[in-house]
Amino acid sequence: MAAGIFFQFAGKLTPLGLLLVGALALFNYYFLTDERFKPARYKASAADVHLRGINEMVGFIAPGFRFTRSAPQLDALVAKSRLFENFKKIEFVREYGCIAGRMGAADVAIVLTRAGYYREVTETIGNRKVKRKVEEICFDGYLVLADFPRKFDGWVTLAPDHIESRLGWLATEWRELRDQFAVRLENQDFEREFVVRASDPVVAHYVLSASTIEDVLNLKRRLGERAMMGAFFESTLMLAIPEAGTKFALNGDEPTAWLASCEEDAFRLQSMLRVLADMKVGETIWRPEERAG
Amino acid sequence: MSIWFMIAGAVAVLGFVVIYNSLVGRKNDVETCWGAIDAYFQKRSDLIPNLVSAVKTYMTHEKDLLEKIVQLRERASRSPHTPEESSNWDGQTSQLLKTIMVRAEAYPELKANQNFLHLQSSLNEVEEQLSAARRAYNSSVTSYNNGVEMIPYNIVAGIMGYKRKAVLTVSEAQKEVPNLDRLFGDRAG
Amino acid sequence: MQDGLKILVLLIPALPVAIVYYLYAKRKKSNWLEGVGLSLFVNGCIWAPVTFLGFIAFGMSGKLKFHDTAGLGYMILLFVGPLAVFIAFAIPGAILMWIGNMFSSSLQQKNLALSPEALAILHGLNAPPPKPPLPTQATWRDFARHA
Repeated sequence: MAAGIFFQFAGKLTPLGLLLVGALALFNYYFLTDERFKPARYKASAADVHLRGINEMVGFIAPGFRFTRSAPQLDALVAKSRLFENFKKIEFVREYGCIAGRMGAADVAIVLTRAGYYREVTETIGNRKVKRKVEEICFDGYLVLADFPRKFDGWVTLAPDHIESRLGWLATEWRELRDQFAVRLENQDFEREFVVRASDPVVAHYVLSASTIEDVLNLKRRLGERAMMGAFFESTLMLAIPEAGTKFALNGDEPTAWLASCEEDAFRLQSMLRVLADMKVGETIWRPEERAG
Repeated sequence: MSIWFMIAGAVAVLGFVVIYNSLVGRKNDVETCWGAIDAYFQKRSDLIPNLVSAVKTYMTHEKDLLEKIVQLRERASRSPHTPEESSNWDGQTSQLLKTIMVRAEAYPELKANQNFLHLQSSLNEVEEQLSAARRAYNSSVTSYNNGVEMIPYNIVAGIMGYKRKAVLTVSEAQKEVPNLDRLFGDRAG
Repeated sequence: MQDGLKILVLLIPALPVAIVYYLYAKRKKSNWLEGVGLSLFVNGCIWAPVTFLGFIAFGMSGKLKFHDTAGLGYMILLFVGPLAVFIAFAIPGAILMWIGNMFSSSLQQKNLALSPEALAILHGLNAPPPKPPLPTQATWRDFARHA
């Protein structure tokens, strides 16, 4: 009898029951598939397999190179390089991965980096206005560091040129009036893409030879015309290549998604290493013991 | 009405000052770049005696070549020179140095000499720096010439007496296709 | 109409099991025994408290023919009912999961079709010996020379 009453009562609740069923099914799916509910042992072993897989790929593209989740601290070096000087005032640099190795006689490191600044935000809590700092990421991508095969004093920076494409000659004249470090080069394609600043125009021309200019332009074209930045200082090359999205990251349990992103990561890595090889970073024109560091 | 004249006058004066300063800046850039070229010429000249003393023991058949380069160096260091004269000497010196380096390939004992190898890499570096300095000079001269010839800069340039400058060009000897027989074969003379 | 409703109501507990099995186990290409077992187990954990709440609602609505909703019979029903639901779903589910887990490694490999090279990476057979970690103040050159 109780069962009959149960079914009678439950029959009236069938629409609600179906809604409940749908909600429960979705809850079960979320609970069973979300990364956060996986046990720690599973996550550790998945991360370990993922790291070994990435190192297999890196070793295939660049023998002798290794991928690590730890990375060198670069804030002091980024500040010294003046890489972001004309971009934004960078207040923090966070590194979360590094592919490093040697190319001939040169040290090469590609560091996964996020950089940004702190923005003050005022929040109203009750009657009080509270100020707190919020992190604003303005650069997310790769910082490519390599020994540059030329010895020079001073610095040279490359920044994306957004203005010249719109204002042309006027922009260049205005920039030269305002900025004592602005340098003009003879390659018009390069001039259109980058703003070159240097401590000395002769150093800029020495560092940015015709072949180096072509190599940088080729890299920009291969990687899809993104806003690259560069810096040359203390015989070191630093290239900042923005790349939003996950890089060498484990994409949950989806092997197909991971494989697709892995191919893109491999292509970008190959392009960056090829341009370094074209620049002949592994060859030096001075004796090895003369290099600092 | 007079207020508009005053504003126009102020704008004209401000414009004159800006253009004047810009032209002076460009002229100074040209002189700075020329100074850099001169410094690299000097650096290269200083390396030549070391090079001659390093190679003359081995390259006994190339005495005339070595004498030519020493004479050129002495001539260049003695008198003051304009950019055009320097360009000519620079071209001849570069050609002679290239010839010495090519002929040195035939002397294995010389190629194994550490001192010679160091000099060779130093000379290569100086040549690269000279090439960069020439490019920087030409770029600054182009910017200066643009100022002297474009409106409204040419008005102020005319008042200041600024004239167009010549860029550094490659000499006729350097434009020639190198004669490999002469480079490798002419060792007996 | 009543019979149709009864059949529909009888199907309600089976629906979450089928939905979860389809969404999770089949899509993930995992072992079907484990998938069904997990669905049953999780649904047992969900339906037991739902049954408990359902009986409380009955008691409050006055549809139950008990003389006293605070009586012993009602209390027993409140706890025995959900327990029965839990035992009916969760224990078979757990048993199926256990059986499925015993066969899972061979079934998973068959489903994922891992190549011998991939298996070697998975089991670390060709992995180089691990290198000691770098100090925290290591520069980028240290990373490059340590690789």
